[in-house]
Amino acid sequence: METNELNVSMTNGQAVLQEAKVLVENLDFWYGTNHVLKDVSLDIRANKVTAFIGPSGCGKSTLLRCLNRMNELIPGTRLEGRVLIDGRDIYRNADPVMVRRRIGMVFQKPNPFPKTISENVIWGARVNGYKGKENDLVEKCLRKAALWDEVKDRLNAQAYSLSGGQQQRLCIARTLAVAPDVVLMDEPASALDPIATAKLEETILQLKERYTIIIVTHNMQQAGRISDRTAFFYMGELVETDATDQLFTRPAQKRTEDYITGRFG
Amino acid sequence: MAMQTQSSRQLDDELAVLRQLLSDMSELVEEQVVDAINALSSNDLKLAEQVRARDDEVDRLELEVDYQCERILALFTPVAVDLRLIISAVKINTDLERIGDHAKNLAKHVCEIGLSAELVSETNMREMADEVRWMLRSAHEAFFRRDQFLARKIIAYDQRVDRLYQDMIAMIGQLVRTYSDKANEIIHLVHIGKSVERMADHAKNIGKIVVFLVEGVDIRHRGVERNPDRSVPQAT
Repeated sequence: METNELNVSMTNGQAVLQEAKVLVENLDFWYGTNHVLKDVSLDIRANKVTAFIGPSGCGKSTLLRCLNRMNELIPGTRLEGRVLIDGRDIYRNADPVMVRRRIGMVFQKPNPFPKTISENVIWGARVNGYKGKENDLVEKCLRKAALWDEVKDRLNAQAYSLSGGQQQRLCIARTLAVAPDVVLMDEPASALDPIATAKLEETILQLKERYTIIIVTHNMQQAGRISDRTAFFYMGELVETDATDQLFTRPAQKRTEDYITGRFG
Repeated sequence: MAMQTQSSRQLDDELAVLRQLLSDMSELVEEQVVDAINALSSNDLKLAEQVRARDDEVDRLELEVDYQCERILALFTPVAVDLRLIISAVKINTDLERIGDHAKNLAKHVCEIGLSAELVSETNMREMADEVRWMLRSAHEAFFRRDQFLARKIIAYDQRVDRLYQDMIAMIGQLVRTYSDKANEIIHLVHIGKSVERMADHAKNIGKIVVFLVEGVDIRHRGVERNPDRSVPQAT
């Protein structure tokens, strides 16, 4: 339906989406014998916010973790298929540490280090060999995460002294400090109040100018507010992916409609 | 068997209230139209007065339907087919209220001038009114049965009323010549004919809204494309 929006070229008779930042091809994933992702294929576009929605256990968070190879840290897992970032397969001839640097992750609950605000931001970059001016990087990342104005006078205060919403934006700043291309967010606002959520959403919308963002959310209004495209998952299958406004007004699949209107099939 | 969340059950309950209000509104408006036409045909001033008085009830229901829609939007943020139902209800509500206004105006003409039944019978007013009644009843059924085929039939039917209205104008031209002493009444008849024709237009609108509700396609303005660039960037 939307391929006309993309540059599509034909290679050996197959359409290749040229602008896909992340391309998932026929992905299957198992936790032991539990088949949690079933033949998932989708493209994630650069500088867009893509939301993954679906009921608990549908595989959306598993897919998110497959995108930066975090699942392989769990024993007994198996993956088939391909995940390409900028056309390169992240599971073949790729260093998982490098993959995770390029593809940052923000988790459900804010998890700052027990350090100062400033050290939280710089820590990852320092570990990765950052040689530039640390103060500049701290300011840059805190500005990008829309937190600078609130903490600039207390950069040496403990991160735990911040509110939950501020801690979550600090975690975003920490993620940005290692210069990723893609930022994955797993229900980043689920522990936040409406005001902190609004600030976080505003931050996400600003970030997409420079980053590709993929967000797992149970809050469908949030998906509607901030995402350009939405993918609906059900029992390990990708049921439908489309422009967010299209998916929330005229979903093509009955299962999507049942889910977004609260009537599970 | 569909499994529902508590909130979707609550939403269904609220939508059921909305449907009931809209059904009450639709039936009351139909009754107003029928009574207004009967008052006209038999020059029944008492019935005409009743129609005028009952218009407040139509207005009250219009407010209730709109408020119920507003509540549902605010409390449940419905999407997809539920959202289309709310949008449709708001629009149909407006069309029904306008039809009610036309019925009231028709009754007002009857009260003010006391039209002779003989004069009315020399036009095709009754035939036009019967067609409009069919369109209104069908619009009601199409909406509540979600019958897009009946809705499309209503839309096509409007042309018949338009033709009948043209015929009526020609007949009135003849009446002016025959009953030159009743020019005042005849002018009122023209207004009444226009009101009946407008009722058909509103019924046609309801047909189009039902197509939107069921098929998710807006057929109001053929050949006019929505400008996709109006959306804010993150919503495209």
